[in-house]
Amino acid sequence: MNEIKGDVEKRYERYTARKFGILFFLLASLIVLAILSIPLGAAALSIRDVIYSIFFKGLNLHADIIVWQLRLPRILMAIVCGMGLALSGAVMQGVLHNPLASPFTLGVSSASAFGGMLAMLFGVGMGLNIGVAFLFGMLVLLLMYWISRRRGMTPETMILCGVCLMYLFLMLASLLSGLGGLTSGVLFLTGNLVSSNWESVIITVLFLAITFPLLIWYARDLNAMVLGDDAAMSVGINVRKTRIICMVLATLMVSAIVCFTGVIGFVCLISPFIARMVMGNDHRFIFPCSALIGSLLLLGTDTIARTVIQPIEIPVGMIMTIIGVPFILYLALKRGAYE
Amino acid sequence: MRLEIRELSFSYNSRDVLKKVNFEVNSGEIVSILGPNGSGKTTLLKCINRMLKPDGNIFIDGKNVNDIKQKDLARLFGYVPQRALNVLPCSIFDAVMIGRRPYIGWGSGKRDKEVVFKVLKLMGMEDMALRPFDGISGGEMQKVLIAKALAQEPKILLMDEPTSNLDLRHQLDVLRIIGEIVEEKNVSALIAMHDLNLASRFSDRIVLLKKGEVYDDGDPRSVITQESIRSVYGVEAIVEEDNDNNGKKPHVIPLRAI
Repeated sequence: MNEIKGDVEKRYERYTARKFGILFFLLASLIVLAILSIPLGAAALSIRDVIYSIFFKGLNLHADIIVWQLRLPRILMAIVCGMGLALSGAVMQGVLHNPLASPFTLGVSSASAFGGMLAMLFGVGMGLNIGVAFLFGMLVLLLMYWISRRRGMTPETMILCGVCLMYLFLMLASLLSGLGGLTSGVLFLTGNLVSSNWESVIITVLFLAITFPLLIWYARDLNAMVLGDDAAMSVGINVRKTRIICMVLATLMVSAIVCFTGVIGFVCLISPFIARMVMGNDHRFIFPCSALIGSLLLLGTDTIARTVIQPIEIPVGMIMTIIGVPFILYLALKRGAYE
Repeated sequence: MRLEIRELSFSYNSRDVLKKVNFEVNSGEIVSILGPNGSGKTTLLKCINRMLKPDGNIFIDGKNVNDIKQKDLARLFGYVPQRALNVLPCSIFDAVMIGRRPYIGWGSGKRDKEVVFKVLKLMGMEDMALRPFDGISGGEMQKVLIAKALAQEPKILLMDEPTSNLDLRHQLDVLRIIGEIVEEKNVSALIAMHDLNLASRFSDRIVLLKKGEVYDDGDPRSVITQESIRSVYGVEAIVEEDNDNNGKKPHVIPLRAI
């Protein structure tokens, strides 16, 4: 009996060690990918140029401008946005008990994008921009909440409603960009990181820095919610409060990102899914893991987007969709057995 | 601990589900709630656990539960829901660890892990501890939910049909474990059940509900009779007496619906 006892505990320790190992591996890969992607791009730079302009700024002005004004903000933006989107997806899945939930599939992203665009058209400042985007994101949440209060919602109808709202707001946004003569409209709707600069990086980091710790704080409560609301309430969790706070925080983060990048779908759906497969149900691990996978995915696809047909840029949202759709189809097929 | 239910009433959108329910569960006692579908068994358990807000009062050792914080209440009541959601991946260990939530902050301590391991062993599930929750059978799932409640180290167990998905052997096994825990730790158990014979064998007392009211309350022999089964379930049945180690228990053989 004692032998079996030791066995379970040892296996559990190995299981936990593996989780830390995966996080470390993802972090290391992200750093390597980020460094490797600096020299790549339309304007050719050698690795030496890059190293010189990072550590000895001022030797090569041309290289300095490319590295400091274009490449670094772009790469950092990809990392931060990937983290934010993937994290918000992980939050929404956990809180709504729905493996298909994400800001993208619930229509939150496109509603926020529409809001951001509206604000842009009226020429308000960046701060208010995000505020209006957040307002429209919340509008979608309230609508969902209202429908589920009135009728009750299965996970499937929730996603169906979400996808409808997503299309509604995407169409409204494209109408708006046509009427308002926004030339960047199409780019905005497919999602891209072209206009990344230090200001956008700093603002996004700020939002991530506010929401991430708060969400990590709620990770334990989300763990308890995995078996359903009844089980969570019975261990003393205020399920309604947790759900509302987490959804609002996730929406806040998404609206900040969307204002700079437009709607980049799928990264917020795929990353948490993979994270759940390797991390089980512990959201203290799922959140950072999902965030790292998201930044790897977005950085990877964005590097492809800006290098594959030089000097033309493909919107990163397109590449993400090309990768994301087969992934979702695969999930649908594999999940056939699960009702 | 002693649980007292006084004048408990509850209605869903003006449909009365519970009407002035009164009974008590003494320390170290197993009480079964019996009654047909829709008689209010699940609602009663949820009201006691304050997942629903009923009219009337519930006392634990004389203290009103309304005066107890939700988190402290979670250390007193271990609740086993009828079924659980199973859509996101989760290992059995993680599922049982949820029961430790009332005791832990953000991290889980050494003692929490020990309790979980101990409960898993008690339930005979240590070999599957790290298996994902979604690959297991309905019966194993029910055992996981029971394990979760035991990990709460509760003073009072509230169980909603804990044996409904289990096969014959596991039914007896689970009820034996519950009986042992009740005796060892002097906790009380309030169990909603469907199986009249199992309930008669394993409980000290039976509360029989009919349309949200207590029809009868007492030891199994006095509550489970031909007359009460006809009146509450609308079923003609023969009630025999079985000799158990603990004395005579009623044994019901249902014949036909009236």
